[in-house]
Amino acid sequence: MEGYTFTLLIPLILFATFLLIGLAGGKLKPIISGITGVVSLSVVSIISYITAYDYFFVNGKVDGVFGKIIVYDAEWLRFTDSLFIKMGILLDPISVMMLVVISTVSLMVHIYSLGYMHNEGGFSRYYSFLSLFTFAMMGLVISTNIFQTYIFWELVGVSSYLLIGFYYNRPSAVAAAKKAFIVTRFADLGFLIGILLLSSLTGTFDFVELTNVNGSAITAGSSVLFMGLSSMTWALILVFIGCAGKSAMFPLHIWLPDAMEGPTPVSALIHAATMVVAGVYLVARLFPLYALSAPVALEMIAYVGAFTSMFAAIIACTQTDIKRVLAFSTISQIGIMMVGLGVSGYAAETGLGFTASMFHLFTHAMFKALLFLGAGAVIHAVHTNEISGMGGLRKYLPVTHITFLVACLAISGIPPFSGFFSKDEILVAVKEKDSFLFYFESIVSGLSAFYMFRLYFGIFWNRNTTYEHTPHEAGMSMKIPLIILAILAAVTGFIPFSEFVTSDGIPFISHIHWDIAIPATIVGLIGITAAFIFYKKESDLSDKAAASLGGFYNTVHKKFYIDEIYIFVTKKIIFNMVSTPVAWFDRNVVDGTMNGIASVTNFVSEKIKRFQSGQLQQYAFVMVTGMIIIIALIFYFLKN
Amino acid sequence: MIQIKDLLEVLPLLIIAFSAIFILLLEVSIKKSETVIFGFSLIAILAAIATSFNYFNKEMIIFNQFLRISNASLTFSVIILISMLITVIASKSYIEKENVNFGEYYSMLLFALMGMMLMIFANDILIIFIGLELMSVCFYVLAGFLRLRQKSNESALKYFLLGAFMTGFILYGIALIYGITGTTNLTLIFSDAKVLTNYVFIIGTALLIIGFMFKIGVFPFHMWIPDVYDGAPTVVSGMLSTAGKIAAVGTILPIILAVNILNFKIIFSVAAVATMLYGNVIALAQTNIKRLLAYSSIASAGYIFVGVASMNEFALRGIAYYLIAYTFMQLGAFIIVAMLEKKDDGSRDYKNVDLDFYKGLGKRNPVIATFMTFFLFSLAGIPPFAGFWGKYYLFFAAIKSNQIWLAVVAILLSLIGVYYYLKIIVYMWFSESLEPVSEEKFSFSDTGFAATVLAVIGTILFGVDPNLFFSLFKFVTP
Repeated sequence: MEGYTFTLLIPLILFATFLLIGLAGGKLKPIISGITGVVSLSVVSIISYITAYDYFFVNGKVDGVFGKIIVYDAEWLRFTDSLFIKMGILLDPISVMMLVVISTVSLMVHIYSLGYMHNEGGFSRYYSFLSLFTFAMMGLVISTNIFQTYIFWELVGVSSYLLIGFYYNRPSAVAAAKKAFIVTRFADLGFLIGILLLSSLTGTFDFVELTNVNGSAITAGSSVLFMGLSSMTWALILVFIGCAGKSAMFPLHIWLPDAMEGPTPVSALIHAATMVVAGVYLVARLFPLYALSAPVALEMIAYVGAFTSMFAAIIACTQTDIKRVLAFSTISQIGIMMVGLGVSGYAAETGLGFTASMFHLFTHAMFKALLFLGAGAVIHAVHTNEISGMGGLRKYLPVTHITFLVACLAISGIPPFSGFFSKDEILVAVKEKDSFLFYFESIVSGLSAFYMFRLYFGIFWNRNTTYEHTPHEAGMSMKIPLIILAILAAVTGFIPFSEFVTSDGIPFISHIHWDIAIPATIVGLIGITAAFIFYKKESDLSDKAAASLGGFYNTVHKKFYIDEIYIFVTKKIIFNMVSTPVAWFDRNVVDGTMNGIASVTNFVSEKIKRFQSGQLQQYAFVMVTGMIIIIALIFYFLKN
Repeated sequence: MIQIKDLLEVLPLLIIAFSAIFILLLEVSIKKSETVIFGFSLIAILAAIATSFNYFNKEMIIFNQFLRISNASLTFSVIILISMLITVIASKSYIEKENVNFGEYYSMLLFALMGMMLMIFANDILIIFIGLELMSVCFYVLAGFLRLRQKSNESALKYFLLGAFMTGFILYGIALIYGITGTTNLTLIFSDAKVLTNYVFIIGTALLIIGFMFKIGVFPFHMWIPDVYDGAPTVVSGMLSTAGKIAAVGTILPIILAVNILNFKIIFSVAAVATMLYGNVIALAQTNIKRLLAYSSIASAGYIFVGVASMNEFALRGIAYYLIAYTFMQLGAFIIVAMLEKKDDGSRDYKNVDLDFYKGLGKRNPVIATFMTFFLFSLAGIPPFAGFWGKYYLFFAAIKSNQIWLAVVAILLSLIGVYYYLKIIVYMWFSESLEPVSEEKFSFSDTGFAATVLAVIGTILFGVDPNLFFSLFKFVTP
């Protein structure tokens, strides 16, 4: 459709910025690269806001439905004559919402990094990678087909790898980057097989066709059963494995805490607001398929999400590295979003879970980015990640303190901050579907209030640590993003989300359910109170509590030994018992054979070379012989 | 009857023909005419390319049924024109370097070009023969253009003797066909289904096809190729291995497809396998880069014959795609060899064409080494370069014709190719230079550089965007 072609500028500007800073970066002054990145992101943000305004308020709604608009779709790669891959831009409520989220958070991170990274080497490299990442993420959300999603999905993975490993002279950062890449790659294998299966069942990659409720894709593959489930269900489960890898669902979550080795603004952008929600986004993108043709897969998503949210929330209560607390909190919150999707039905008000999940994605992006940037400001001031090295910082960092408090209140679901509204909607949707999950998620919600305020009190109150250098507030470039995000985290809850983003595009009006909201708020307040008692003042209460839990506390602190289990499986079993013998076989048997073949080939080659003597008579003789043989062959075939 | 308006229908051919003659006039009438002639040839070829695109999707038989314009023939002729364009650009500094900067060189190129286009557009066996001879005679002269180099003379003589020998067979084949059908017109010949099963007719067609297999360099008629490409001026070798091969393929392919009903897939398949095997295996042992490229060109002929052997509606697409990719990568590689060759010092042999010379080229001359790497990757069939898609569509055609074994063998044999192409890349980037680093004199004003850039652009463009090819040549995908 015409009128939105300007959205093409979004990926183009970002890619051009990446090339510009990446190629010319070495020659530019670092600050110029930074400013270029900020300016380009500002332009992209403005375009995104215009798009969102135009889509939601002017042109997007046709006959009361927010439809899918294909802005641009060009054939890009042809495999065979009927199978080709397109590249294009698809606008619908969720992609437009993601445009706003990504550009806002990315812009904030770009500005923030001007201050945060200015003493680091490789400033230009950093900004070029940021642009590349934003480009890839934008390309992912505006994909018109699942293959385009896959391509950008991988590109997002690569740029995240580059950014996590930004401090490449730090071995732990390099190891973390590798771990993130390998774990998500492993999950992507499932995704790729899922895509292949899905496309062979439905004969298309196209999202519009795949999710057309009246189309053939919905019913495709429902009759072919494999191990009791339809092949469509299997395809969607495989796709979800990819989503679980990117969105750090149990048991593929292990890379996210380690990824905190990257620069903190990167964690804010990638590991809080954008990349890690790509899995949620993709499930939402394929939602009609999940809801209508594979309810089993959807149920699985709900339970995986619920388990992950509880699991990560428990671990978050015991971590002492503030970024790791935030990482586990992110895992837990994404789990909650998955639950929202998992319990949702399709169409109208039964799709409340879908709306709520997207709503939570939106508000979470704002307050979690704020938490990470606030944590960055704290780390910037005290030069440590450990909570034990902090305390009493409210006097030194007033702006960080207030904005951090806003974010903590938002994530704890205290009205009127944004998290309250989105979490309320999720809980309402969960309760309608499954009361067990409802109580389960309420506990998670209380836990999140507890661990966030544990962090808050630990950093800003508690004991009055004496610091070697007096901590001081960072410059304007870091303060402004904090303030803007704090305002967003406080007010975005008032957006009537269900009037814009719904599972089938038809807006409806949702109300706050006070019967659920009030208990939920009380649970949050209990969590905060508990944290207040344990951590407001310096005391040994928390240590006593930990000691009374004994072995359980240690297990949790060690993140349930999941990493150790992975290492045991990969190192001991796969490496020692499979790889080593295979390597021996490869070195001694396969290589030997190959070397043998190579030397035989070379020997033959040297021998035949002599045929090419340069003598014309011989050449002519060979030619005539060849001709006679061919004609003899022709006669032979004619006779038969 | 031939009508005036027929002339307008073959504008590209006319432009080339008149330019070739006009260049001879320029040569005698202006002093120091070489640069003018160079420019004029370029304009003529560009004009011919531009006008060619007017005739797509207008299938027609004209000139008293002597010529036939179809999308396929136009595609081949445009690919040849592109090959010639790059050759002409690269030639300027090469013939200056070799001290043979004469205007008739360009005239020879254009006459050869005219012959090639004539035989591709021909709808009559005699016209094919006239075009073939026009092309071949010019090729003989061009191969021996470096009069003072013995190797060049030897190359021309060998090419001429074997070429003349083969011409005899082609003529004999034509005579047999005429004897059975009483006509030389291809439309008439193939319209008679009874004739197609006649033994004498089949022998005649076989001889004709064998003659063209010689020009393409298919086993066992490939033996002239290494000697000729090795001795000929390097740019000319590049042209012979691209334009010359394309013209032969473009001419014989419709004939092979027309006698398709005889179903001799197996003979072509065996020839394809033998050619790929021979070219790839012997290329392994080469120490001279011109000979190595010559063997790689034999291997390429094998790949093309994989397409020919599949004899289905996908064959044409695969062959045409491979040929345009091949034009850019093979010609580009030859031109780089030409640029790096040492200036003429009156010696018998070419200098700096040993593989050892390429050791450490990446350090001495990173730009050229990068370009060479692109061409070699493309020749090895590694995406995202054009060569990958060429092979892909060729092998795809083989699979579609139920000759999966052929596709598998072709892929295995092309893996041998990867080895020796990579060997050069390893030499260029990872070996210590045997030459002093500052020795090399190379300037960007060398027209060979411009030609290489064109070839690089083509190699990458057709690799990144395969659809470009289909939209350019109005291919209706089967």
